[in-house]
Amino acid sequence: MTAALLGTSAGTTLAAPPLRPEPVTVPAPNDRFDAMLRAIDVVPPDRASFEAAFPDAWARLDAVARDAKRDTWSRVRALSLLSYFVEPRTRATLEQVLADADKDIRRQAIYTLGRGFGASADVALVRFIEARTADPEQDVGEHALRSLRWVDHPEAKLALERIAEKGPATLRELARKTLDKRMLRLNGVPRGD
Amino acid sequence: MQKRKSVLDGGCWAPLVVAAMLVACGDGTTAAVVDVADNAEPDPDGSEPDTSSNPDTVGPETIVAEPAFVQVLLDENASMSFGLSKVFEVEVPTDVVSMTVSVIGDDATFYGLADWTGPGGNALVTKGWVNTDEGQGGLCLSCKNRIALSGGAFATIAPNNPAAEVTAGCHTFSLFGYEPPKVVQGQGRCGDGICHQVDQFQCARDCRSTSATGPVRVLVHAKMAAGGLPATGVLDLNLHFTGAQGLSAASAQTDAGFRATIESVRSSFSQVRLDLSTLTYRDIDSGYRTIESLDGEGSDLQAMFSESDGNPNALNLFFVDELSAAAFGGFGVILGIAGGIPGPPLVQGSSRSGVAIAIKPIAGAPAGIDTTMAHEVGHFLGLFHTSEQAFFGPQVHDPLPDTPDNDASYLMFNTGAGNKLSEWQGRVMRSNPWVRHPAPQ
Repeated sequence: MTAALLGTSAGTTLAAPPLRPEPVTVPAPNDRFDAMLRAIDVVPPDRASFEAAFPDAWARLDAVARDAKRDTWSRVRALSLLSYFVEPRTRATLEQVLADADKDIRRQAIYTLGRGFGASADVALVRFIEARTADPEQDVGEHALRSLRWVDHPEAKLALERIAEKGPATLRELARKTLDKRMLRLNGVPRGD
Repeated sequence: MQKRKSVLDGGCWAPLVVAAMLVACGDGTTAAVVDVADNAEPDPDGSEPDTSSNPDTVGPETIVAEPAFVQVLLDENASMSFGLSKVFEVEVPTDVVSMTVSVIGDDATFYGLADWTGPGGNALVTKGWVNTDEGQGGLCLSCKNRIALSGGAFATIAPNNPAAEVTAGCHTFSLFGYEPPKVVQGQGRCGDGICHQVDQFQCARDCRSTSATGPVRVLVHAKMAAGGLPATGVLDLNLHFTGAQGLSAASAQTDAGFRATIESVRSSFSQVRLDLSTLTYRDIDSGYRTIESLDGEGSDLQAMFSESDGNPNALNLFFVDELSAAAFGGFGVILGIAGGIPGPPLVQGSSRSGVAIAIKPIAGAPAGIDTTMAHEVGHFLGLFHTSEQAFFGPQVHDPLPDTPDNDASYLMFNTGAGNKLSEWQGRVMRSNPWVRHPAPQ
């Protein structure tokens, strides 16, 4: 893997989001891949194994994630498994499906964006996710908020504190719990308050 | 971890002495016997398992009239050093029909058996397997009794297939454990001792596992039955509600959909003459509604399973909205997860003491809540997937002779959409110490 695959700062700038669609090259159907996508308690052990089993894994996940004709479960699974590919083309896909009409798709896309790119996130990404906490569907807002648990940038802490204090009443308690979980992840201890 | 001295500590001869004392005293209800028939409570619907159509002998087992009970053969606090434990010895009494070995340890560490040998050199777990490719994969396919390594706590049940015969006499085993590297996203200098994501491919020396050290609790349970494994059994469940989908301990008891789910699971298990018996309902913190991490220290799932501490002696089911399984450098949404294959029997409060089921409805989900629940309970009682689909390695089938390969109609197929259970699967499930065998009325 090269540095280009790791969500470098160039890949996390939302001021000029990489919204150019990937070339539409839908891979031919693959029963084995579909079976993996529909397994109920199996995930790839790591990216290397994933790509060894399915060399075109990213293209297949991308195609399913974007395909509004596919069932929601398959698309949600695909969107979550795109987290194995923390790179600009994945961000482009996630940002594009955030406009999807299905709230479960938007919900998973914003979560994968926060969690998958959390280690390399900048202020712009945090603000972008924070804005999504106001999605008209509470489910989507909650999942956007949860994704901030996985964002290392200190702005994520400030965003959670803002929501915990002044955000919608429906999100305040979740924001407090997410703050604790984030602190536990980063420091091994909760906030202590 | 609480220090507990095993009454049976001291090698293979000590248990014989204790067993003789129990017989001499005429008291079979000592603290070492943890499962008795007369604590059975009536089924909520008053029904009893229907055994009227059973022939005298069904499949691999012999029908018996008298109940079975579980005896604790070992409960000892031990320590791991350089990834291994001392050699444990237990004397297994006559009338044993199954045995489990459990290890309760540190959440960040993976445990398993390095070896397990029964009387006459019967190698149930092959010594040295952890140093082979199978050891790297954490699944011993070549072992007579298949085992899978597990984080935080480990358990195995024998026999889990016809080749793994468990006989009375002296059994010896030792433990194996390792701590996987903590993976950090981003990139660093190779040789800095930090396992960054890229190091998986570029700098293996920064991503080495370390050998397990520190304390563990080791338990050995034996299910005893004079006439062989009973053909029927009952399973008690603790049902834990996080508020997912608006269900609570109070509302679930009258919720038509939830009751139908329970009845569907009961119906699945009735194929192998296993009934659900006492159901205990409990609310837990709503912070567990979405489980975002499964493994490792401080993971959501392990914290939730630890909430089973102090609960009645029953298998724990946790109902959540959603489960995400993180792996090396990614994660994926799943529908259910079991604390192990099997999960630790008769242990509450460990980080593996339960089964979690995602109940948030998503269109197109490959399995219903009922089949997912039955599937994961099957894992927790000791069943492997009937067939893996060679997604990330060679195709693997379970070690049972009566489960067809690649047959999606089976409950334990990896899609979880099937419903069938085989006789041998039933035997493994009923062999588990969580399953009781009440005396016939």
